[in-house]
Amino acid sequence: MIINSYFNIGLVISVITCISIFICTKFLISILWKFKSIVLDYHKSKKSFVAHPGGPSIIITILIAEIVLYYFTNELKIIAIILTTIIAGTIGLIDDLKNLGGYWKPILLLLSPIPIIFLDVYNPNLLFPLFGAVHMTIIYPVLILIAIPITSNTINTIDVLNGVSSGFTLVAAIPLVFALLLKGDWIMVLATIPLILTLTIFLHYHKYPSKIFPGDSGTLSIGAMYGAIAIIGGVEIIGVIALLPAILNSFFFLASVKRFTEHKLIKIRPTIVLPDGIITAEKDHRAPITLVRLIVAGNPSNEKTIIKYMMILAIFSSFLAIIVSLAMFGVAI
Amino acid sequence: MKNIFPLLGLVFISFVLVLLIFGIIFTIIVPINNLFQFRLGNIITGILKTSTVVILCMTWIYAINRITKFYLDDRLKNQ
Repeated sequence: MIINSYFNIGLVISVITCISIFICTKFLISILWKFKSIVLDYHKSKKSFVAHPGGPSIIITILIAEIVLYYFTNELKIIAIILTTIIAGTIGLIDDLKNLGGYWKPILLLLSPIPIIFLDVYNPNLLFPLFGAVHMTIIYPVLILIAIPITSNTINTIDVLNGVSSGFTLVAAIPLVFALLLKGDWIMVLATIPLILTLTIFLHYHKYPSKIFPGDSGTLSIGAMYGAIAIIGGVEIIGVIALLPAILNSFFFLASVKRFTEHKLIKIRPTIVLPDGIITAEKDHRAPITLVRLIVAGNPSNEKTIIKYMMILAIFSSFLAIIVSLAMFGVAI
Repeated sequence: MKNIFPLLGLVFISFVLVLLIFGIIFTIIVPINNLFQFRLGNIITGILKTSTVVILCMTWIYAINRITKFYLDDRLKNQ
């Protein structure tokens, strides 16, 4: 009976999400072109422009779907997810309209996890495979404060090629749902549906060749929502493992650049686009290390092939995350 | 598919190291209480715990950085 009602709620929010993201994105593309809010797609051999930012359609859809979910469930967890996503999305929107700069973005993003801490919707018991659980009353809120800006910036940093940020998060969200299903946390499973369906339909417009870019508003909001679901659902480790290639990408970038900065402000770009559209690695050792540079190092490829490589890495890390979630929660079935 | 297998290996190594190092940090080091019986024992334990966590995190950073740099230099030589 309970599963049946959850199924009905899931069906309602699925329909709402699909309709909303489809209409919002289609409408937004035409509006952005009308107001000439377009950016150059760097990785194309021919000069091509893409509508930007697509974040508002993602934020609006997630907001509508999660409000409907809150209406049915009355769970504070949903409010925390909504607020975290909106705060991160608003910071991203400000960055899209008026460049915030390398340091301001991570500092302002520290505001986004505050609803999770103040609404007290987290469980300070962190569960580790092989090592067991640990209760962290004091450290855990500090970890939440760091974790959401990390997930947001991670998704933001991976947004370099057509469809990668939305495709990567979509693949990484599957182990989260799988772990939440194993835990039997139906509310959080329902809360993840808007993220998955929004990304699925947005990917249709964002995939190669892109019709719209999510922008910082899109990437920061989906990254924050991903982090919020992982923390509130108590599947933090699964979230980290599924996102590992993207986390490594951010880590490589920070370790090589040694400061918080915007990609567009980098003097020596990590990759070079040849006239025939082939992307090759920059040989200069001062160029930042990124996942794309590692993929094309000694192996110049076109954009489509690099996207395929990145998706293989995402699928592999998600597979590892599913194995870990089976080891952690599988016994409870 | 030339570079995909080394990169999958890199993801796997970092996965193992994340589980191992952060598992040790959060389940063994963080829950340790006062190790000593004397008055300043709490402070010394805190310093010991913090330095162990920093060393373990630096180990992860150093290991991943070395592997990546070795891989990148090797590939760029052949480019």
